Amino acid sequence: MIDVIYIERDIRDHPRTRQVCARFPAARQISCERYGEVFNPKTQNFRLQKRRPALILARKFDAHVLKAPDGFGIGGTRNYYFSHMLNCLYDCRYCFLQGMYRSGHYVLFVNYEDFEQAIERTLALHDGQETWFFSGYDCDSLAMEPVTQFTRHFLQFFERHPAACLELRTKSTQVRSLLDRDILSNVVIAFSFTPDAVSRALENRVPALDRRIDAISRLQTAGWQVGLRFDPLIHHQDYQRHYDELFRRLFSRLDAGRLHSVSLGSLRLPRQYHKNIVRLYPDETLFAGNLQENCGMYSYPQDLETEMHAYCTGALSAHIPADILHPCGYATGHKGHA
Amino acid sequence: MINLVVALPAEARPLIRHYHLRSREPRGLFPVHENETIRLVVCGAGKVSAAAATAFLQATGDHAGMQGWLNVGVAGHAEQAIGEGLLAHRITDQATGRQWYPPLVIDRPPPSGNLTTLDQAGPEYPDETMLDMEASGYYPIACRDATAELVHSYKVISDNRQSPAGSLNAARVEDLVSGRLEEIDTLITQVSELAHELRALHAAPPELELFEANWRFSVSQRHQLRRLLKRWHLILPGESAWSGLPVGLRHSREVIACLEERIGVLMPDVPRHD
Repeated sequence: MIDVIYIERDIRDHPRTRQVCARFPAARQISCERYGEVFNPKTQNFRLQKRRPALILARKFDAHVLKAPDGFGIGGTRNYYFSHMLNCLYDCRYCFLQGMYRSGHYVLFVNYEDFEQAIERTLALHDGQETWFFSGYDCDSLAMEPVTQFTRHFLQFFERHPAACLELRTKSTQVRSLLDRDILSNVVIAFSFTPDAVSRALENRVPALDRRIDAISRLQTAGWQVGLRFDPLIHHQDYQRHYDELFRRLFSRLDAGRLHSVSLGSLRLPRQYHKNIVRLYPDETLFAGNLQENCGMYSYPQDLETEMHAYCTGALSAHIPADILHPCGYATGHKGHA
Repeated sequence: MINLVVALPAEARPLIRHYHLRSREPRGLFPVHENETIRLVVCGAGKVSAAAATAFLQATGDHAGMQGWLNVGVAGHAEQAIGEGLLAHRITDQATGRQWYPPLVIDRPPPSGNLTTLDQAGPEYPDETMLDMEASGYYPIACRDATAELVHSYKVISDNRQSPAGSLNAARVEDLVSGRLEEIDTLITQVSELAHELRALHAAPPELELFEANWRFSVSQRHQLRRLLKRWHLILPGESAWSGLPVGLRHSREVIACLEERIGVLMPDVPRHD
């Protein structure tokens, strides 16, 4: 539910602005010049704003498509990401967004067409060779679909550009816009998971595990390519048993032979983000554990991380073919965990 | 604790009566009225006075952690009915064009609107904004003390195009503020609760005093100790960090090192629900 909508004056009459506002007729509408006036001031509290996040409607002027960090990807060599939104409907305690942004408000960039042009220009740079575009870096790709119509819009675009591959990263069960249309072979819907107990404790507002598995199952039945992302791996007592249980629940319902890709990711937080998050959540057990700083990045100690990766890789190999497993998908760790 | 910044004695009197505020003695730069949970400063008209009084109230406060701030007063508006109460959701300083957007995170906030701070009152009533002479002075200074979610400006409409300010007097201003005490009280309660929530998060961890009573820690060691004890009691709630310390630790750095070592081998359980 959105109670407050900030609207950049410049896009007040944009059709997408009107469409979004029409969904929340009771919301207070507040004009602003640029979204940064609301989103960027220093003295804001992400944690408090997450109680009642406002929606900010804005235009993105540049940097619509960005090169993905090295080591980021699922097999492709040309990897980019784009973010039509900043911030996420969910409130996952390990998420880097809470350390990166001062505000917990959602920013939605309504000028989708400018993103499309930027993707076209990027494709042209590579002479139309297969190029990956990742969505879900700074937000969840599907969670706000009823409001943003993001997927509905962008899938039409990717249908016209078969060399452009799209990964939609999500924890959402909002798959209707996908099920309502023909499948696309250049689109992968990638679902992130942590064990049920971890999800219940750390992934606030995320749909229940079984509902997400059900959504994936329906997508697979319809023929969509689906990926699984165990990112980040969360260390805790009984983690081996909990990950075993997660894999069992997933692969008892899903067709492992038809999965596009599976990847593992590490918990990585840049030093400043970690500092910001600990200041916001001093009561959070996750950050009371033994995270260590290495080259400006907080993560589990190397031996623990190696142990977790090795264990989960081994456990996964009992369920999936080796060639779809990307054991360490994201080397930099600067990745949204949608 | 919540801090109220009020321009005029007539705006302050209903609040002083309602909350049984006592005058602070000796009087400093500005008159302050207070009780155990509320401090009110009467700043006088104008944004410079409002900024100065806000800073004064902050500087003479008890610095007991995060506090709420509320600017209460009357304001003009082109169309709004006299007596209506509005929270400011955008504050504009007319002279500089600077704008601020107080985040509305409290439950069921009262009706809200734009608020423009003028250097001098005039006969014009621009559309769709309240008009006052203090908020843009108060707001950025209060935001240096507290996170913006705890800083608000609430105005009672005192004049409009149909009934301009010329006929206003002190008794009328008192009546207008008195008529909105219930809404102001709710606002104060909600902002105070948010401030309390933040203060509680940063409360001293158990056993801190015990450690500090037994060793002398430097300022940076105190920060380390605080964080280490916080981590200990999150991972092992109810278990004493003190009781397992080896005997014979002489220096504070040995204590820190010992705690770091002991915490380093602890494995957190599945984190608790929020």
